Amino acid sequence: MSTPKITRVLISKLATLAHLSIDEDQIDRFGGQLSDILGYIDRLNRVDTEGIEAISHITGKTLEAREDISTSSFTLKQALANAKNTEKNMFEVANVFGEIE
Amino acid sequence: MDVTKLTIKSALALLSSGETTSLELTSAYLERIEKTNPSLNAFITISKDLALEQASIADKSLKDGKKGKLLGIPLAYKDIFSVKETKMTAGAKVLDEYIPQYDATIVQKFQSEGAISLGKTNMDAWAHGSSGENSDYGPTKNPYDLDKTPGGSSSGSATAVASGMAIAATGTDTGGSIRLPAAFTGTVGLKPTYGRVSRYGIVAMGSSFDSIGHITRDVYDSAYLLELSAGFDPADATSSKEKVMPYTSHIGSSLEGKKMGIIKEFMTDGIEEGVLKNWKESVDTMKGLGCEIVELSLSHIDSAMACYYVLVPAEVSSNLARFDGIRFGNDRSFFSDEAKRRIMTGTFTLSSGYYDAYYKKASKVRSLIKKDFTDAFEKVDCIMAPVSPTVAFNLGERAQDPLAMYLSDIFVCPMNLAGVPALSVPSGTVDGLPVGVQFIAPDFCEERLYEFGSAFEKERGELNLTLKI
Repeated sequence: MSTPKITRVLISKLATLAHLSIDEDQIDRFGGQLSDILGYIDRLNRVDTEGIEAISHITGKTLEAREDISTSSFTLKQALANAKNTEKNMFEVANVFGEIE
Repeated sequence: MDVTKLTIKSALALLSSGETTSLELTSAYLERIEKTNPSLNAFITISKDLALEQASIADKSLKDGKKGKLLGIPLAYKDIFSVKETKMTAGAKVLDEYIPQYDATIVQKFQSEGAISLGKTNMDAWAHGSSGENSDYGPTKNPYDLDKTPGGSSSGSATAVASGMAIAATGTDTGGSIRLPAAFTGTVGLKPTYGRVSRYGIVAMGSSFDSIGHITRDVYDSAYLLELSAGFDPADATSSKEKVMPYTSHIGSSLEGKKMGIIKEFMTDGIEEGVLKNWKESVDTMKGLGCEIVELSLSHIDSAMACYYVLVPAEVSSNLARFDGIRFGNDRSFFSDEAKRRIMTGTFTLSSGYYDAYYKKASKVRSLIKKDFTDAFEKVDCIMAPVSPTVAFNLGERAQDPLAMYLSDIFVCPMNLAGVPALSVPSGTVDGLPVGVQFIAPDFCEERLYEFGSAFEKERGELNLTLKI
């Protein structure tokens, strides 16, 4: 496939998907840069990958599970140590539902 | 005591003979940091009190006859390694106030051998970069020319070791981020095999690429540290159970009759004249050591950069999703441009409608690149390659052009795609600036890097470099 056109709409959509805030100036700047990067990446289309499997672990390890025994982890204090907002030993989050129409 | 000349080996000897104490050694490094860091900006956090306290404890241990492979030795950690109770930023303002509640496995390993923690070194934010200029804490300078970059993303670690602010420093290499700064600063940089060293406690960039290594003053020290850092870690399921070799015992082996490969596709017009001259001299050096030089063609290596810039931003976009400002860190508005750019590139290539064309395609190309290296190693014992087409470039020169910056990694990123280990060794100077070559070995054959690297280093002799401070 050829490089899709990097529109302002696409940049805004990507920013929303990735929970990033970007201003008008950044939309313009990123649009051009993303176009360059995707244009460069396009050369992968010239590589014949017919019948080739993708590797997941590049140096041969396969999934390994450990015994299902509980071990110690963080204390409550440690787990909350870096949170900006906590209440009653819980992480405080912003309202997720927003305005209900 | 001239801390700009010490190695781990020589410092251990001085401590063992009683010629110095850990307190004296550590204080000397702290003084050097105080003197040079304001100009070089190699450290984000200097752990003065902690280091002095650890040094006193180390001296008592030494007196009591306790053993420790790094007992009393001052090290620095790239600010992407968790050191318990010491601020960690990963070079990014998102983590400006983050205090890890645990040590990375590697930090635990080095500290259990008695190492002293001097502090956390500067780096491109989230390890995204090849020059240190993407740090949210200002760029690190090259100690051989303050207008030049020391390379990145382990910029602070490289400058710290080169300028005598630390005996050795840890780093991460996802697309060249140890080897490039090592080459730009005349130090030795190891990228181990992916999975050789535990990634636990290290901020993840590209989880199938991140290789945990270190920057040292010579090849011996590099082998010495790998003996301590390598090995399976139950806390990192991707870490390997392959046997850890006695790497230091491979230092000084003969290369007579060994086959050394050079990659045809790397010999491009883009290599600077001085670097090309040094490269040819380096190949001659290897011939002089008895190596048979074999020309190799790795036919998919020209696609490595493109492959890298699909897969890594995709993994980055996933790994950076955890920084939501809720459980830790500042919110996502604190991300700088490069992080946003990579997250968005990754989000795009992973998105519905594009996943097959980009991510899946690139994963298959990655398999082909891996196979190119595996096939090459049927013909040779080791591969030698340049590290960079240029020596250290000027600060600001590539910062406004992301693609130009990405292309700095053209000779180093293929090894991360293939997972193979590589060692960057200084090979000389070009107009007063360091230049390096890298040795590449098959998976889990780091001992070959040390055989070839140590022989080359000895034959190369003294480097003609002058620190600016």
